[in-house]
Amino acid sequence: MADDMRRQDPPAPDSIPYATPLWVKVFGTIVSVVILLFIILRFTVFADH
Amino acid sequence: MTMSPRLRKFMLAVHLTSAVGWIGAATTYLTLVVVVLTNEDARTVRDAIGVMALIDWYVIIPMAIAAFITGLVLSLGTQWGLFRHYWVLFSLLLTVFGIFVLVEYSLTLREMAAVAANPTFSSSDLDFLKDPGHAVHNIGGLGLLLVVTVLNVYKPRGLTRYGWRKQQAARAAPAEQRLHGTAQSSQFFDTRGGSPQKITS
Repeated sequence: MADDMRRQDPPAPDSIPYATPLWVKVFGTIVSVVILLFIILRFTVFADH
Repeated sequence: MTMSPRLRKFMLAVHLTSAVGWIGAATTYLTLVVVVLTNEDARTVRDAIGVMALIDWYVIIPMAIAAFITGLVLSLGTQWGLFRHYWVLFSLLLTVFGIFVLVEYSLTLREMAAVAANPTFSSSDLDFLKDPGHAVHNIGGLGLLLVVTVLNVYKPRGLTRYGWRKQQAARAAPAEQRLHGTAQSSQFFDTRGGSPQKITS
């Protein structure tokens, strides 16, 4: 009985590897580039504004 | 901590109102930016800058701060959490970045409003007021708000590493209870689609 219940248990927390979704990688890269570009331009080209 | 449904609905209403108000005010602002950048009449430009400063300080900034605070409360007070889902995390980061840039721009705008109100106004002052930065900040801000709106409406799937660990722990806990005969039911959090639902099987 106990063996049957163990077989129905969900996998242990470490058994499923974590994977970052593709959209997060793409979107995160775009957002990072835009923010970095803004910061660089703000403190170089547009420093006087 | 989970909010009661009544409080959650109230906070959601305030959040939507302030976020929509922010977008609406920013869109209105664009009209004034076009007036400032395309008009050569000093009186019109000076008046438009004065109105822009008023809208900025008394509508856009309060709406932005209200949307930010209510967004924080909604995420922390529901099972969405603040750091569990990527769409919530991106919304938070983009809103913080947007408010930071908005406040910085507003300080410059305040100086411009003071120049516009100065009786000894010169042609060089007119060039100072007709700064293309108005359009860059306004269009950039509207684009950012559009992205956050799309994220909030579509809620793309994707748990952060922290959210994934929390979900795994939540799934493992009922199994432990079942194994030890302390509970008859198991509870899982289904994060597909809309708001997380507690499923009891």
